[in-house]
Amino acid sequence: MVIIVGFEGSANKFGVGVIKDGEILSNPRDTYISPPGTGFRPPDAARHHRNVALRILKEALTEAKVKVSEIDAICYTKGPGMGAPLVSTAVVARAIAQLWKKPLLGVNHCVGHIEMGRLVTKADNPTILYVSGGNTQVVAYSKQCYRIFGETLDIAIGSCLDRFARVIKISNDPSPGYNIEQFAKKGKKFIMLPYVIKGMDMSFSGILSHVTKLAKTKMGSEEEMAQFKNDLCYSLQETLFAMLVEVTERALAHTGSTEVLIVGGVGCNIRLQKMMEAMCEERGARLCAMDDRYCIDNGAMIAQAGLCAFNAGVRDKLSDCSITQRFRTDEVDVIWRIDYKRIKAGVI
Amino acid sequence: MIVFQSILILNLQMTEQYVCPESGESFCQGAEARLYLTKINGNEVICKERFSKKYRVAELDKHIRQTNVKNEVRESAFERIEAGYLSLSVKAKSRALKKCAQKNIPAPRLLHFDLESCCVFMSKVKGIAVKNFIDKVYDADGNVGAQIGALVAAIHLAGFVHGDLTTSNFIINPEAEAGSNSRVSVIDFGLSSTTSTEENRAVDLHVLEKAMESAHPKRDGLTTGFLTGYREKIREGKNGVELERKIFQRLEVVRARGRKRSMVG
Repeated sequence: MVIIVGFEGSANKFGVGVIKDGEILSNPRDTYISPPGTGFRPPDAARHHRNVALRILKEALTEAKVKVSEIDAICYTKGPGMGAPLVSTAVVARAIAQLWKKPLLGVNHCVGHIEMGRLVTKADNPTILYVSGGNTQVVAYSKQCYRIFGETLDIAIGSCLDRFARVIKISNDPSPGYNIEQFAKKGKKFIMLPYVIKGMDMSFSGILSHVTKLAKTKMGSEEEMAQFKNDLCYSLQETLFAMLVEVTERALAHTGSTEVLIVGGVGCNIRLQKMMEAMCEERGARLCAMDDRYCIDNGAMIAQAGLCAFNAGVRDKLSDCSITQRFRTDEVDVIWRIDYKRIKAGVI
Repeated sequence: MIVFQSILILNLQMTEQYVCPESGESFCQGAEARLYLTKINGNEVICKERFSKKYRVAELDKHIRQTNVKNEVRESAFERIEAGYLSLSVKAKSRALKKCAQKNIPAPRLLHFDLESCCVFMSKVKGIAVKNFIDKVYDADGNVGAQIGALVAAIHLAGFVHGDLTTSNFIINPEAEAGSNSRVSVIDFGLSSTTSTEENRAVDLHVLEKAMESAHPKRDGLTTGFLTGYREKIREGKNGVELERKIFQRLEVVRARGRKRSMVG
């Protein structure tokens, strides 16, 4: 029996999760929300994390009903993410690990999403679309590595949506993406926007400039403007998501995989799920059900990825437990996954 | 001869023989198109239908599919026949014809296309996908790679880029002699474009490089052969040595691009 405590705080959410052999015992979280028309500043998010850290940790332990002596290891998000919030979280994790005399493991945030997704959906070897405020990647496992098949060349899709929400002054509560989705439902007219796929990679910044310009130059009555806003949200979503689904489909065709897993905050968007589902249906593939436990940043997913590494014998030295803003998914040695193809080929 | 063929094609159009066969008969389905085998005037003809995707809105769906068909018939190395160009603009026509006359690139022959149904009719290319060939034959990596490389260079020298190079988009005829020009053909020009900058050419190379790496792990000879074959052929072009240097310099930048990108939005 292995019990792991995971700390997540790479962006505007702080969460602590307790995992016991793949069972989530507790997973409380607190989100820093900035006023409409503004994004969150990293120092403010870091301050938020510092303020809530101990309260959330206490909540997590109380709810999980585990004693400190039962805990096997502490895990925390090493990267990628924003520097200041990452540091705040890492400091708490390091202090707790030394206080309780537990081993400490740094976890890649993206791998956290993926491993939690695999745990919850029981998908064996899915092709993963990772879409969030900071990341846009199509990932598939191959040779002890989560290989990136396609990714964004500039900004992340969530960032594109968030920034557009700021342009048209939509509320950030509960999240800008959720509110854009609600506006998009009322959209009627499709406005053609740039559609940018380069090889397997995508680019969103030009699309953002284009819709921003459209939004800022449009003149009309209040009513017209309101409808125009809806149409823009609708067109933006349709265009961006079509790009995501197209690249995912090509990755599917390439790898021959039959499962698709969407992880990251943008995965909560119902329209994206519906589009992906339609694509999967046409191909005879399965779309794994969406779940908050692996879509929205949380502590348990960090604990789960940490558990995989811990069980495979990975241990980090305290002096190596730093943070890094740039930490690619394909830099992680995925030694805990069994490589069926290589066993078949007699390599292992 | 060309005049005769044009009349022939026009006749076929009038008798509406170029109709996409019923669904269900497709012998091959990729991510974006279905291929059908049909007989016209006793000749085997391939119909490539870029089917509609239910997941995207109708306007965007049509736009993407039509753009892909236009790319394919306009920019491709198809051996062109006048009739296929009736609906294209004069500019596109002259550009395409010029390109066609330029280089002898083994590719399917364009017979007809229809923008409304997003179907392209083309001649059948004999052979199997290089991807399947590689999985069966182990001792020809360098040779096959070099032939692919030379073909890609020929495309680039003809003034366009393919845009979707994978080992599935090359057809090899194992029966043809190893040295012959028609041994390896290239297909699927749906993502091709005529903007031949170093950037586009380098991206073309990088996409194939990545595809080879992931589809055929531990077959380094393939990639090495491909890059060598490409270098040799591209040097034959105008200012070839300079061109080669520029493209490979750019390739380094493209390779490093993803890896250096900060993952913070």
